[in-house]
Amino acid sequence: MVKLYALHILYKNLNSAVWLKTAYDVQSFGYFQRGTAQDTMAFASKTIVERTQSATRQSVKEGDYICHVYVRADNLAGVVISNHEYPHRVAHTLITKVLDEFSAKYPPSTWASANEANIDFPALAAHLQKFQNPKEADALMKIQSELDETKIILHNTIGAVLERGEKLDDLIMKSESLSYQSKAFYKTARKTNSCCSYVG
Amino acid sequence: MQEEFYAAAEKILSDLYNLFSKDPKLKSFEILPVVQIENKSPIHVEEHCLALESWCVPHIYCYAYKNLMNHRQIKGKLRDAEKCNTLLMGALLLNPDITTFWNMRKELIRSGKLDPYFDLHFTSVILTFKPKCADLYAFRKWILKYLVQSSRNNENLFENEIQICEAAADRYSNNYHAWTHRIWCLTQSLPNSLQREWAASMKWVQRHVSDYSGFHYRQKLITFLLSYIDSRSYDQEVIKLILFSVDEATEGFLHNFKTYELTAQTIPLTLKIFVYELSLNSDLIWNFVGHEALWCHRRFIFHEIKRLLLDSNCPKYWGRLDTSNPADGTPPEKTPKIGKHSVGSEFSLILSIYEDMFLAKCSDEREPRQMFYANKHKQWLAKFSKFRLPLNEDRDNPVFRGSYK
Repeated sequence: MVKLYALHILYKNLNSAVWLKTAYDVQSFGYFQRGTAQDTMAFASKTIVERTQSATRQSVKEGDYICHVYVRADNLAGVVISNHEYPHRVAHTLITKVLDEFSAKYPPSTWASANEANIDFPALAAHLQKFQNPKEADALMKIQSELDETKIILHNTIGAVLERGEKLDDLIMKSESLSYQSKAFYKTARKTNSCCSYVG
Repeated sequence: MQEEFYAAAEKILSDLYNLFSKDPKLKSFEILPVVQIENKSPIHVEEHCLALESWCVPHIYCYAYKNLMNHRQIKGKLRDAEKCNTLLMGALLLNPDITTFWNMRKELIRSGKLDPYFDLHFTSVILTFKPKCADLYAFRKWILKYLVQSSRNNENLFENEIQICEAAADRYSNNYHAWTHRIWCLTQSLPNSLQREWAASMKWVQRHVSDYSGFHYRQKLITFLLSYIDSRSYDQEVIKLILFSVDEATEGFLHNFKTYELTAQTIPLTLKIFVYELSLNSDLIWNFVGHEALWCHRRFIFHEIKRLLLDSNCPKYWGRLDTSNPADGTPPEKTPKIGKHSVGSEFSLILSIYEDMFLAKCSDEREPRQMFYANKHKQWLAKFSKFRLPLNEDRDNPVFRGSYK
């Protein structure tokens, strides 16, 4: 299915990234998995932004999902998590548009001290819904033609983005932002893809 | 170790049974991965969504399975229908791939001890957990046939069934079993379902551009539509909206070819259906770059157009060279009267120009996947369908080649 799952805005400090605003669409996940899906996506976007250099675009594949990241030269970062059917170019166009709108409303001086709860930016959730249909991007042809010149680096696994010696499993288990339940989900989800894994 | 849990398993099973009988709105089921066992019920229900904690799954399943196998040895009146039903529900909820257990449910329904509508609901909940279970679709098909035979009120029966197939296909991409079941439902309510499914499947393929099962369904639908148009009892009212949309698409398609004499009125309806499909497909390929399913569907469209045109005798563009008109790249002479023959050849010409333009547009070096599929498609057109694009023809023409020397 052509689908967007998450749209995030982050600010990249020297050592870590902080969420400024997040929006999710987790309707397609099982009811009891939705919280975990959100946790995991938040974790993924933070991890990838921290490992993306300023003024670069990346697209990172992981299983059925793909995470598009753009960190601007001023360290404001945007993330889109979608599936493979969603056109990459449109995803990056959406990030550019959202970051432009955000920095028009909140000037760069406020980013370092901002905190997600105090930021009012309802346009993010609205864009996430509207862009579920990628044809919405037709109106953005101008940005898109500028985008063509920027190179998007494509990685086939999240491992390619991590630094030497880092492992995804370790990062997840060490993470403080993921709940105990999400970690349990992640551990078992790896084993439960086979059909009768619970039975027996 | 197992036996300790059996008393608890019996309680959990009867709780599950009660949940299903009390809440007809229950809509989904899943298993929660919980490693630590806490001393409380492993069943969770929130907003009509049901979940079971993973630690108890093997115990419940083993308990239900063993008891059911024992139960099968008991003959006749000694069987306890309600107990059997409870055990079956537990076993099938966790593992719906056991044909024997579905057959036991059929026996219960046939003997009047189980309401078939209850099982339609029960199985629809399982589908949210295992959307690709072949035995389950076979069972639903059996219930539907049973309901139709017993001639109860079965309005909307197939319409609901199609909704359920769509939800299952959404949860599991390329869900062959769900789509096969949907094709069967479609055939049960022909021709009234044609119009509704035409719109629904179009919406679907626009949102699922690499789901080839969805495209296969649309191909089946078009085949049914063609044979309905061919049939004697053909009624325009039944497919009014389809007729309207294909006319509109054909006019849009011909818009760039105004110098030709073809109009939407002179093109036969069957061809117009494929013009519509071709326009839709071009649009999707253009918007969603590099999906093989879209290009495969395009082959289907050309294959069918070729079949229709060969019926109406237009060999020139489809490889059957006729000697009176050598392949020198000149367009066929226009005949003032648009008869059956010239409609075909003029349509072929327009189509070949259209396709050549489209493929040129897709050969963008920034998109290697798209270029790869466009080239494959070009080769296929030339080799297998023997469809010749006019520009290729020019290049192959010895006179044309000579001018470069």
